[in-house]
Formats: sequence, C-alpha cells, structure tokens
Amino acid sequence: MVEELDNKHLLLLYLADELSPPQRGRLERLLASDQELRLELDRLGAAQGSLEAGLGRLDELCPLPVKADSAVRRVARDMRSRAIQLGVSSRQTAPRYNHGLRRIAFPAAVAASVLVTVMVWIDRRERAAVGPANRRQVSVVPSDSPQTTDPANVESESDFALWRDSFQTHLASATTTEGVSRDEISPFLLNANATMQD
Amino acid sequence: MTVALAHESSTPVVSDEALVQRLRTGEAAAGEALVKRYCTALLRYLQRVAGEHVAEELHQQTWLSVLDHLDKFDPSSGGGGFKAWLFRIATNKANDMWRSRGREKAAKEGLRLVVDEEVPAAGDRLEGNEETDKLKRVIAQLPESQRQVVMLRYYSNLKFVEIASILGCPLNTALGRMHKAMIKLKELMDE
Repeated sequence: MVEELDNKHLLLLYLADELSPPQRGRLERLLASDQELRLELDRLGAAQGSLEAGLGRLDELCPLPVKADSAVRRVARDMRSRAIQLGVSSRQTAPRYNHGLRRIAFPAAVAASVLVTVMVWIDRRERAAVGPANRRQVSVVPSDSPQTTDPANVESESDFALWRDSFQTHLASATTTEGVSRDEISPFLLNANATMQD
Repeated sequence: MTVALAHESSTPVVSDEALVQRLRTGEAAAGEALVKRYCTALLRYLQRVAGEHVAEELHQQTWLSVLDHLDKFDPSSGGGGFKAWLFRIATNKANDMWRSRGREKAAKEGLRLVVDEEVPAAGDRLEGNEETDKLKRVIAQLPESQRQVVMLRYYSNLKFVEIASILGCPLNTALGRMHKAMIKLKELMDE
C-alpha cells in the first residue's frame, strides 16, 4: 500500500518514522538525487514544527474545558454504576440455564398430560370392545328385599312375597337389559328362584 | 510529529487491554484507571474538533459508549488497540454532534468557540499570545476532515494507518488531508 503513495505522502510517513527500513532507504536515495523533493521535505518539516509548537503553546495557555480530576470523577461515577450492572448481568448469565428448563417444563407437562389422556382413552376403548358375553361377574342383589338372603329364613308370608317379587324383577332386568345369562348368576340365586318357581 | 500523551510520560504498568479485561468483569477501578490515562488527551482532542462547551459532554458520552460496547472490543483485531478504538468512538461522537446541529451552524459556532472562548484569562496572557490566537483562527479555518486528521495525529499520537482506519478512509486520503492542512497552516501562520 505504501508503494502506491505519492512522494509527498511518503515524506509525511518519513517524518513520522512510519516507514519500514527498506522503504526508508529507498526514499533517502531518492532525496539524495531529487532537490525539489528535499525542499518539500524541509517545508513539511518546518510546518510540522510550527504546528506542534503552536498547539503546545495553545495547550499551555488554554485550560481544559473541565479540570481533568473532575472529568475523571464524573466518568468514574457513571462507570461504577455501569460496572455494577455489568457485574450483575454477568452473574445473571449462569441462571439462564434454569430459565431454559422453565421454558421446556410447561410444554413437557402438556405433552405428558396428552399422553396420559390418550392412554386412558385407548384403555377404555379396549374395554368397551369387550362384549357382554365376556363379562365375568355380575351380582344381582335385590335391594328392596329384607336383609335375610335365604328364603328359608324369611319368617312371614308377606315378607317372602316381597322378597320374591323383588328378586324376580331384578333377575328379569339382569337377563334382558344387561344381557346376563342365567349361567352367570350365582347358584344361590338360581336355587332361590327355583324354590320360588316351585 | 511526536506528541507525548499524559500516560506515555511513564510506562504504564498495566496494559490497556488488561484493564479492559478487568473492566469487563465489573471492576470499576480498572475503568477509572483507563479514564485517567486518556483524560487529558481525549478532552484536548474533543476541545479542538468539537468546541469548548461540548468537549466534556462528548468526553463522558465517549466513555459511556465504551462501556456499552465493551464486549465488541477485540484487542487481537489490531488497528491500534484500545487507544485507537477510544478515539474512533470519540470521533464518531463528535461527528454525530456536528450532524445533529447542522454543519453550517456548527461551523460558525465552532469558530466562535475556538476563537472567542478559548481566550485565556487576562492574568494568563503572555507575550506570545498573539501568535496562539492566530493559530486558533487558522485551525478553525481548516475543513473539518483536515482538522480531525491533524488533531488525531497530535493528541492521540496514533500512526497514520490507524488514523485512516478511524476515519474510514484510505491511507492516501488521510495523508493527503494532513499534507494540505500542514501547508495551509504554515502559509496562514506566515502571513
């Protein structure tokens, strides 16, 4: 990039001591043979010296817009509050992992609920598919009957009639409405029924 | 052109980059050390390119911006390290101010600020004052782009390559502005 610069620009880099040794050597050889370039170097050197001296003088005579100590204190005060925030934010970086867990906790709970619901639904569907013929236990208990379940223990005539009517009602309901075969009714009840038939 | 920054008078024990690293962890004292290190040079630079009244405000804005963008600073990217990054932010703040105020108005105000308000107190007036007043007027007459290169070179002591990077222009352009500014300053001072 330096190779593409004008000679007057190279002179500025030369005065600033920003040329590499080979570049510096080439420019010095050029200066030795080019009087006009040497004059330009002198002119730039003088301008630079004048500018440096002038700005130095300005800085001596003109105070800073604010005392350096005051400026430092003001910035440092803001910096301390910001630095505290920086420290807080850096400390808050770690718990973000927990925030991530919280983010996935709710969807996971919903998914688990849906899964359980589906499993329950499938289970009920399978149970519903099982026909009445496959049902194994049906208890038919005449609720209106007296506490005594053995007809032999029924003392009065009216009680026995009540027990019989109630039992027949439930038996009919069990064999027709619920599709329960007589074979599935407990032997005791069948015997009772047979007794009543007699 | 060799100008000694305040911090360069003695070799800094801790590098800028180490202080930046400590500041990133929330150590405010490291930031304060950086501010002290560059306070005078940065205030002077802003004073010359933006004006007396806004220099302190821009100085503070610059440092707050440094804090806000501390994560973006990459010491390994080269280009002058922290100092160049700091002066780049300061230059951007000054440019923002110029844009927000309007170039023409700011130019007039800047001229007024530099010429009228930087006049030292009567007790401070010395024999060479006429020359310095003249220099203020001459500096104020420089185009903004040339003044920035001159002041960056003088107050930051950065290399021309780094100055070109700060200003976002080719090295050739930065050197051209510097050359024109120096010739113009010399001519005006000799009048």
